[in-house]
Amino acid sequence: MECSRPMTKLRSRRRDEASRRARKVLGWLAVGFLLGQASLFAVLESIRPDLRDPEYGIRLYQLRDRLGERSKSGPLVITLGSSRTGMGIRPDAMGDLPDGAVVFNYGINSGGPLIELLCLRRILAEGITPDLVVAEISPVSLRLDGEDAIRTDRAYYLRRTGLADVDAVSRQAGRPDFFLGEWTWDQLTLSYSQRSFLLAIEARRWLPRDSKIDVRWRGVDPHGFQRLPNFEHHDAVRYQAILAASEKSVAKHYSEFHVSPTAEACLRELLETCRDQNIRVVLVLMPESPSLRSWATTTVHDRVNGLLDGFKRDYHASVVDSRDWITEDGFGDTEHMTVEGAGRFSQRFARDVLTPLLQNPAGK
Amino acid sequence: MLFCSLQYLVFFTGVFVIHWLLPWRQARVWLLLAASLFFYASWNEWLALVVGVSSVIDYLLARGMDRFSSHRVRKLLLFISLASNLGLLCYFKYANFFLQSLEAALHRAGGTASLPLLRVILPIGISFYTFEAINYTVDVYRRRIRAERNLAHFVLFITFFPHLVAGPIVRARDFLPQIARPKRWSWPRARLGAEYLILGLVKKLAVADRMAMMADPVFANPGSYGTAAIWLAALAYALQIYCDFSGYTDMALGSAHLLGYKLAINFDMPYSAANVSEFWRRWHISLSTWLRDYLFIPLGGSRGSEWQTTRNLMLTMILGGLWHGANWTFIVWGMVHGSLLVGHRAFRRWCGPRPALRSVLESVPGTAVRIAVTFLTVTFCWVLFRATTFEAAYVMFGRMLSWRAGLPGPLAGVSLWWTMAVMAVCHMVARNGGWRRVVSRTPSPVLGFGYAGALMIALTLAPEGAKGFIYFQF
Repeated sequence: MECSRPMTKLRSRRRDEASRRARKVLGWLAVGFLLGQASLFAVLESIRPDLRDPEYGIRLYQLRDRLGERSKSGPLVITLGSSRTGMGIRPDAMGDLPDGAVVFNYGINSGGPLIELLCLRRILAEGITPDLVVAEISPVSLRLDGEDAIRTDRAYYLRRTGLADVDAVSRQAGRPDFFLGEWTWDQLTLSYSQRSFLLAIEARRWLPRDSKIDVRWRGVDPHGFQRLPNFEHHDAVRYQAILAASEKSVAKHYSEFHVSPTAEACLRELLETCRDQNIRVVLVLMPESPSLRSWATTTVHDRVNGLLDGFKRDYHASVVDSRDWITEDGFGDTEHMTVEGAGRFSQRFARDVLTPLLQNPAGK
Repeated sequence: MLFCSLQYLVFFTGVFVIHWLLPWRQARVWLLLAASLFFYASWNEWLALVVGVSSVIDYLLARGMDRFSSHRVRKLLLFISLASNLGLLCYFKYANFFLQSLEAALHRAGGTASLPLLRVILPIGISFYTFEAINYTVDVYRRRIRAERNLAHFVLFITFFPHLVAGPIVRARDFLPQIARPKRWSWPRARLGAEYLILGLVKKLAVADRMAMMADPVFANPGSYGTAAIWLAALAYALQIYCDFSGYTDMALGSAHLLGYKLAINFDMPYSAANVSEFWRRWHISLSTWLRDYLFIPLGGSRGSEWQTTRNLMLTMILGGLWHGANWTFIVWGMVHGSLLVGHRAFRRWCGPRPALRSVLESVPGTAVRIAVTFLTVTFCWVLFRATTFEAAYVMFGRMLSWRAGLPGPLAGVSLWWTMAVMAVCHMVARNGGWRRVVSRTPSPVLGFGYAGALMIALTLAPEGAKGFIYFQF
């Protein structure tokens, strides 16, 4: 009896010690995990925007390099848009522009008015103020952008949305609270939600050789133009094969065409931001292949023109319709130009649009 | 509902919170029972009914065995139980395999008959819960345990969701008393559960699924890949299958501990085994011991002549191979392992009167060589296990043994070498309980941050898209 009492005490003390240690370990585990996610969040928000949104971040580093090279007084032209812009505007093919202007292509794959707005806001937040913004207008993204786009490609928006963007994106999402909840959860598990970009940028060799995740930014040149191997030259056989599938998907969008209210709201916000910052804006309908143009109905034309007329009236924005500037042989598919086609377009765009605008800074 | 999915996290968190909030023991049992049936029904609700009905039948038969003292009646009841369990297993898992094999044999003999195939879905985890039910009824028949009187307890033993779909194969004598015992919250146990869960996640997400990216394309099309890629794929598969299955088991053990239950350890550093016999003592322990206790020993074990022992070993391993799947590759894989076990027995006997040779083999370099040879042998056998046909296995072996040019591996070798190095270090530390010593001496903040780091690595390395567990198909 006397012997068993100290033994019981010893056992009880050991149990208490083990319990205390277990609580500590679990507590430190939770703290460590949250600290880890918080540190990653801080890195993504401040010093490594490419890990949040590689297509935007990698272009930002290149833009900084280009700005470092330009003469101090040279104006800066930023082109915003989707892959049509990304693969369509080649600053290197534009030759010398007035006052040594620097043109940088910020065309982001799957982009539309919302992504254009986000890019502009981010660039301004970096302290870079362009003198001229060229914003792409594409009928398909006018229909799809905003709520529809966020719903169909939720992961795309959740991953790329930073703290500064979350209000703008959630406003465009159908259910802002729901989007905000998902976004917050993703930030609490950043090492999981952002893993594809973390690996693709920091440890590419840990991904399969045939992984296509970095194809969206691997071919971006120092001026932001996106060069893809399949789009080096026009391939008639490949082009014909693409036509049928393309017609089907475009017909679906054009048959029930309307301008999404969220897309219009984003474009208006973009134009207002530019007006507030004293930045001139050119809205550009990018080149389309003759086939793609032939599929557009009168409704599409009328609604797009109506929208652009409103922008001209409300914001005094310039509009350039370059849809028929390039012939079929300048396209890799119905909407994306080949490198050679992009070169032809860029030369004409520089000569007919940018040079006159830059020589006449009256609008500023 | 995979253990490493968001759905499981939500499901488990709900069950965990309600379980510990409920003050009544029986209510907790009912909660776990409902959760387990819901868990199984999330795969297929009709097949949940099959598990439920077969469990009730086994419950009644076992009660009958307990009630009747007549040996003949008890034997009859055991026979009915075995027939119903094995019948269910054969119907769902092997019927088409037997029909196809019979048809192929008839065709070879010149016949032209075409046998109809059954349109059945394989109930997930059927091999596991069938073996659990068998060990229960056999143990009741042998009077090693009393039949469970509480139906809910018995059905929970069979369907407890952490072990339901891929084991470990639980023994009734270990698990049923745990259900009856009152549960008290314990922090050390919660910590153990969390450690197991993190370890399982690391194994599954950071190793198994990543190695699958290296192995799967090569096994799908071995003829296109060069010798180096084939070897890398074989090694990657050895790591994949271990980390996939033991990762699942760790998560099962972790989930069970967090609910106050202890499941049997299923793996004990199998790739540190210095011979094939030791490998089977460390690999899928719950199946190995089940086969030993309910097949090998009843067949006579190693008590008879050398020939009888060889026969028993071969039979046990062939049936063990067949347990994994209805395919001749699994049967041959079992035969190869049986032959290796027989060969090892003979070699050990031959070494007996040669102390000099024994001391060389048991020295540190000798042990290292034996571990390497065992690992390569087992890896070689995994090729047979993984290949869907003998032709594919033949191509793999051919390209492993002679230099052939071809595509490079689908993943750069760096991830395999890093993973192998980390696994080798972990095996060395963990062998002989070294891991426990390391953990007990590490300060709590370092340990907590270490676990957090491991969890973050697992989450970062997780491939896109959830990948099921390999052993779910068995």
